Amino acid sequence: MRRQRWSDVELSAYLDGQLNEKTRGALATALQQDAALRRRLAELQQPRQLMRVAPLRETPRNYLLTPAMVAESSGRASQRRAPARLVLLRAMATVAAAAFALLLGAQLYLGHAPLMTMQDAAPAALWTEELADEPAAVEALTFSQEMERELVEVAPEAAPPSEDASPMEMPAEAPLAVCLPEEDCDPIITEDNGLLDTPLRSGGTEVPSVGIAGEEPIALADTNGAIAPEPVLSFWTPPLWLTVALGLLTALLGWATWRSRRH
Amino acid sequence: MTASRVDEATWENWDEEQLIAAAQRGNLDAFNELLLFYQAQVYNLAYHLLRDPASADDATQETFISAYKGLKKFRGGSFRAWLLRIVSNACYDEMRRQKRRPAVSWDDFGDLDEEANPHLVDEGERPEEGLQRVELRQLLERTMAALPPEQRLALFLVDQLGFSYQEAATTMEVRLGTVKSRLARARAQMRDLLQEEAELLPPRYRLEDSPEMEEMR
Repeated sequence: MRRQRWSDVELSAYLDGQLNEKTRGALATALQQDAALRRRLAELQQPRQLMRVAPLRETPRNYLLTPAMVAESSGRASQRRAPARLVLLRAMATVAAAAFALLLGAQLYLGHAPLMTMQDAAPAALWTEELADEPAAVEALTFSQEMERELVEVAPEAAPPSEDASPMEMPAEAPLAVCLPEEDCDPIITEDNGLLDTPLRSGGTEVPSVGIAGEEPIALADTNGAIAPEPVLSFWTPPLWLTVALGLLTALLGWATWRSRRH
Repeated sequence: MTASRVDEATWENWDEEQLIAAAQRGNLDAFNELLLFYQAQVYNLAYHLLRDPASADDATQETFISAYKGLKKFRGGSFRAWLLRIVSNACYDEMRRQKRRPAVSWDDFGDLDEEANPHLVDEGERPEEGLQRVELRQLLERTMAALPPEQRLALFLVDQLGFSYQEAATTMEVRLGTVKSRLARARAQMRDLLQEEAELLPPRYRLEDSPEMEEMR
């Protein structure tokens, strides 16, 4: 006969009919012969029996689902996915803010000058008979207002003379000649730069010039015929509207990021 | 006959498989039928694990919403084991969260709901029997609270809900042997705790007065 200390695990499994046939038989035999073992089994059975008779707690309410609850739950789930959107918004707001700061700095400190060089600008301002017949082409060659103003400003009479002065810094002693539209200005091509220039007359001397259809040609050289040899580099000032628009975009993205964080 | 009429006819006969199939097709009414049948078990499991009626209430509602949304993943087997696995996982998550941010439990204020609301007692019972059963349940809940959550869950599933070991293993996502050992340890600990508070047990549930013990003498 098997003599062993029966464990609580075996007694517990016996109560639930979870022992194999051989072990169950052995335990049943032991129970018949051992009062202490029967008591142990009864003590272990007590909580099991109490649990079975103890009532379940009443639910405080019914948990019936409605379509609205399911939809709301789906909405909450999509909101939990928001962080990815939030990261994107943050990145966009950062980039926009950096770009805005750059543009604002450019507006405030870099002054107001065209980015184009004289050499870049010259071909765009050529005045030829060919182009004069094609309004679209002439339109494309129009000078910017800044360029025009710069070139007009080089003519003041108070500036000191200089041999190697560029046309932008034309001295008063070398006044610019202007070929007015009503005058007879014959377009020519200069040899050294291949650019089409319009000769301007000043006391019988031809000087290279640039012009626009319907507007006055402007001299690119002094009356001695010296053509501007080097391009003049200046900085580009961002237009005000672009800076303002970027500022607004930055503010909008900042607000959207803040709102996403709150929710 | 439309599909919904077929479903309605079936609900009267309580065919769980058909209700599940209908719910999987998006029939919310079918799911609610299942919900009504299982909500007490789900709520009680949540209560045993969380020890707080409000938290158990939230966990129960969230469980049913999750279950409905994830019903297409249910591939057969025991539906209640699947459902109770969802709620037990939700409760373990909540317990971990509470561990990080401890809060005062409603249990600290005593069992408010039924003491304040005698209508929750089964009206079919005589008043003193109903009261004894409620006292018993309260004692068991207090005693069970001393057990580790895994043992509490095993005890609740097998001894209170009558789950088989296999069903309990599925619910707890553990092996059969683990259920067996957890259950045995839980019963042994309950035995010791109940012996310490034997005088608090209603007389009809005391071991010394039971017919089994009379026979042993």
